[in-house]
Order: sequence, then structure tokens, then C-alpha cells
Amino acid sequence: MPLKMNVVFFGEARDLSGLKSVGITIEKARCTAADFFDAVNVVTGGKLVARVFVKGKGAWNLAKGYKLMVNKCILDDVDEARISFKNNDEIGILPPFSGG
Amino acid sequence: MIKETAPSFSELFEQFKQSIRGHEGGAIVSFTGIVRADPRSPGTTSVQTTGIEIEAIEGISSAALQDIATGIEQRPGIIKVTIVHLTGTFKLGEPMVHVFVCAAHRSEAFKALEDCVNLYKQKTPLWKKELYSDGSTKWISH
Repeated sequence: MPLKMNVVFFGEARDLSGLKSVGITIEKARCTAADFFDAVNVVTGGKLVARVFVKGKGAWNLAKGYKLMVNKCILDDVDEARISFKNNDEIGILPPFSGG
Repeated sequence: MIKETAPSFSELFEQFKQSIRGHEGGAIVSFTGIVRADPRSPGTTSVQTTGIEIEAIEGISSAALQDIATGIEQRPGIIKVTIVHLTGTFKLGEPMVHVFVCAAHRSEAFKALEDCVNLYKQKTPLWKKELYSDGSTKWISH
């Protein structure tokens, strides 16, 4: 059964993608971080490459300082082995924090 | 807390002072972050900052600031901490953030204040975009 998720972009990620949010569909029963990054790269036409997504060990990963927020919970790091997104998850892409 | 508009510094200071219970406090110190004029590129002067936009996540950013304040308040000698961060668009010289710390003694108050500032910059989902005189913009990361 495909998984549907909503991706929300903040700050620089929103400006680069030109999107506030977008729905993605993963045609798998389980969605890993790598699957998620691949799908976001496709829907954003590669506009996030280099600033938000970087290639590491063959798979896409987040650039330094970027974080994910899953259903309002901010993840300190993206552990590929442990992350598995679920149907209807809302996933925020958060640039490095920079308060005033 | 996150606010779109805030009272003046003196009003915030009075509110903070009024919120302190008891008389163990011997020092109140504060930090106010304001918009600074910077060149877009280091070493140049032609394109300068004209303002800053601050973005937060409703609910989440405010909770993160409160967690930091509560954590610092657990330290010995620290009586009360308040962080007020504003969002929106700010001109040069306008305040973007206020931090107040009340402690028994000034040394622990100053240390707590500096830690508060460092922590909210690292741990709170807030984003700052510089606006420049030529119409360009740049997201800032520390």
C-alpha cells in the first residue's frame, strides 16, 4: 500500500523549493529516510540539492545543520537505520536555526 | 515566548520584575538583540543590510524557548528567566529578542544570560533572513 506524506518547508528550504508544502507518495510499504529524500528531490525538481540535500555514501542525506520535524517532533539527527515514516506523517524540513 | 509584537523594553522589564516572587533576587540582567547594519559581503560596503525577517514555527518555537528558560531556572541561584523572541520584519536598530534573568548574585546571572542566548540560537527553530539595500536577501546561519 503506498504511503502518503505531507512535506512542509521552512525558511531557506521554502525559498529554494518555491513551496510551502507538498504531498508526496512513496510506492512502498516502508519509507526510509533515503526514500523520503529521493521523493522530495523529485517533487522539488532538484532545487534543494547541495544546500539542503547532499550525497553521502551513495544516498541523499541532509546538509549540515538541517533537521527533520516529524509530526511536530524535531529529530536531532537522521539515523537511516532507525527512521521509518508512516502514512499521513507530516514532515518538516528545517534549516539550521538562527535566532536573533 | 514568541510574539509578533512586543511591549517596549521598559514594559517587559517591569512585567519581568513584577513576576518575580520573593526577595531572594539580587540582580536582574538582560540582553536585547537588535538589527545591525552589515555589508552583504565581508570587506565591501556597497550593499548593506536594511532589515531582517524572523520566522518561527507556531507553538514549537515558543515551547523550545520555554524549555530553555525552565532548564536555566533549575540552576542554583537562578530565580527567573524569560525569553521573548519576536517574529516578522524589523528595521535597523529595532529589537528582535529580549532575555531577562534574575539571580541571587550578578556572576551567576551574567553566566545564565550568556548561556540562554547561546542555547536559543542553537536549539530553537527560528530563522533569520537579512534584507539588503539592493533588494537581495540571504538566510543567515550561525
